Amino acid sequence: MRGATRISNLAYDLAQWTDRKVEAYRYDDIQGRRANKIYETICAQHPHRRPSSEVQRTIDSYAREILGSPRFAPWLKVFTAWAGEFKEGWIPDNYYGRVVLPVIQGPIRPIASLKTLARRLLDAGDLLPDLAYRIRGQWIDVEGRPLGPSEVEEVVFQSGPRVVVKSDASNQGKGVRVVERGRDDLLSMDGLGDCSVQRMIRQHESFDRFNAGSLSTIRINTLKSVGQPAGWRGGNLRLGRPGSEIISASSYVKVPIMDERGTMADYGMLEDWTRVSEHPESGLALEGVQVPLFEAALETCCRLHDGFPHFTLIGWDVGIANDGRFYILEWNGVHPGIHAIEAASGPAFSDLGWEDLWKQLT
Amino acid sequence: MRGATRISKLAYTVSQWVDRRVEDYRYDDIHQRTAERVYEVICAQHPGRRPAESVLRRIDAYARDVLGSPTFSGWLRVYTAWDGEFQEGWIPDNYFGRVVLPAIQGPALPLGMYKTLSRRLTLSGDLLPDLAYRIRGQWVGIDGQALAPSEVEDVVFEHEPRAVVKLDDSNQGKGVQLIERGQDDLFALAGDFVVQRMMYQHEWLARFNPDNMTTIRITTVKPPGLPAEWRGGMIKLGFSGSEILRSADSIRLAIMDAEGLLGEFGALHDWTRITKHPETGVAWGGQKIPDFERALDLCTRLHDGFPHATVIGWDVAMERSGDFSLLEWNTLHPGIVYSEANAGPLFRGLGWEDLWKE
Repeated sequence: MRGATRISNLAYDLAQWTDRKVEAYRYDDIQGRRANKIYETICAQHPHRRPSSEVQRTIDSYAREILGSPRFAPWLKVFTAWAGEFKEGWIPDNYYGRVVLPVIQGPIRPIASLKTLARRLLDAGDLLPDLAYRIRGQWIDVEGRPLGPSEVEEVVFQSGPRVVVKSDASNQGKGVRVVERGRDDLLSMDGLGDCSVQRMIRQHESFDRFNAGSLSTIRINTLKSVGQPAGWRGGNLRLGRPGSEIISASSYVKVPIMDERGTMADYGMLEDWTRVSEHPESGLALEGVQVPLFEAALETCCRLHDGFPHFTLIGWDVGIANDGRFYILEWNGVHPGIHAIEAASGPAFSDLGWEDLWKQLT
Repeated sequence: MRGATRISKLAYTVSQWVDRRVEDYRYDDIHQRTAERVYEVICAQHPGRRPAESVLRRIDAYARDVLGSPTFSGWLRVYTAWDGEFQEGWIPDNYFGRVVLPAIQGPALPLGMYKTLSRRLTLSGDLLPDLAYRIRGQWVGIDGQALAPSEVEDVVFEHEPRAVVKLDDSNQGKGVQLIERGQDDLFALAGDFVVQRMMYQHEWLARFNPDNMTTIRITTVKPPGLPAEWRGGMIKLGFSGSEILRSADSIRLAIMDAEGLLGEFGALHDWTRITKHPETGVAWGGQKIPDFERALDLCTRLHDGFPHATVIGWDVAMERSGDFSLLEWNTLHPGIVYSEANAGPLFRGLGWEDLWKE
């Protein structure tokens, strides 16, 4: 019996170790390919930004020596090409995903994907425009009271005939749809799984000149170190583009927010990292665009983060509405994106010792 | 490039598959050994209950044919020896842990571990005796607002100079301690934890053992789209000499039905069967927990508001006033073995026997 346990423990450790190695290899492989594609897009658009082979060698040795593997070089090359020079302290997205996030977010990390619990976890009340949830076939309201099928429509459409339905684990606009009273049958919609229903928010009128039909959002990243107040760590404005009411990665142009005062970059970034100085469809210049209520929104994100210290880094999706308020549309803790921030205004995380975290893995 | 991806995907799938197999083997191995030990304790105390060869063969066949593996026989033998006869429909603990729970709890599986989030997640308000939390060095009040270190003691000791500290991954009394103003340094405590107010139990429970808080465990199941309902429970009684109840040093009494009827027997931690508390001599057979339906109603109401988890184990306190409060909730692995053995099969009609086929 004892022998069997020892063998089974050993086999367990071995299987886990192999699994980890293979997973890391695969993750770097996928990320490396993605970064290379972006790098080529940037270099094609701006041939003079292609780093010299000397800079490339610096990047390779930085990846190897500081971050522990040459497989972290591709994202550093992307950042370098975007910024026009190499800067020490940048965090490559695959290093962030497989070394940093598991350590800083800890084992609680996956619960961030549960949209139907966001309002509870953040204790954010009506800052989230939630109206109701469907979970495993049961409808409940925001207070947790079960709703009979006949009550659902009444609760959901109290604020208007159109609402937004978000599946749990939806992200970047995938798994999100607009539902209209009379047109769609909320109760018998397939493929929704667990979902939350949110009020439809009309964007601030200053964004309407770019694209009137969608809800532009801002992403704010806040970081909360152990025992320290939460603070700004980058963000961007996501201006909608025609074709969809729901903002998804392929339907917006990102304008970097350069600092915590809300200073805006004078350019935008498309999904494939093409740099634009104008909003593609409206042709309007991006220079001079402002985010109303930015400072109040940032302060609220920090306050919510201070009351929910379980996560070190949170990416907040905030909608600035035309009623003079702003709403937390969702929060991201599984993999709050940082690569666009690193490229545009980074290194944003060079003071946190993240470069050394890989040494704990071996 | 393409070739590399295909190979890395294949290697990933293979390594995941091996990992799962090894993990299952190891998990069953540990469970079989625990069950074997319990089984021998029961049979040693009651030789007449050792199942006949023909019954053991029937159990093995049931484990293999209905539940999919002979490694599920260990707990079925325990239930059989305890009950006196084999009953179809029992759920072995390792089948529950590695087949049922991942399927029915989904992503909500670990949520009950986070004592610092229980109040928010269950929307239980003041039913939980929480006073404050410390998470990653930050103090937070029950209203979700950050607390400055200078405010903490006033919040925590507002009504009483003593309080209870529970670590986030505490369970069964491990990771729980009492703190006293002036004596213990709240700020020197390590880890993430909740601070709860002291509770004092109702005299009906204090008769059995007055020294620490008896917990009433109520298990509820909420099938998809249906109301939550009773699926077993038990009382955990402590011994004198500690103000904190530790499961490793406790007596379990099965609650036989939704009316709160106690069974004749209780069990020590090693499953030795008893009929009265060894220290106080107070027996429980045939008694009913006063107002039990109110406690059950509290649990089903909270569960209806948290449909994410199919099964939840609620630890409830009956306070001196007669009110019921929530001590904690369990979603990761709410214990079922003792109630299965006494009042089971409790989970018939849910299709759990077929989950392994998926």
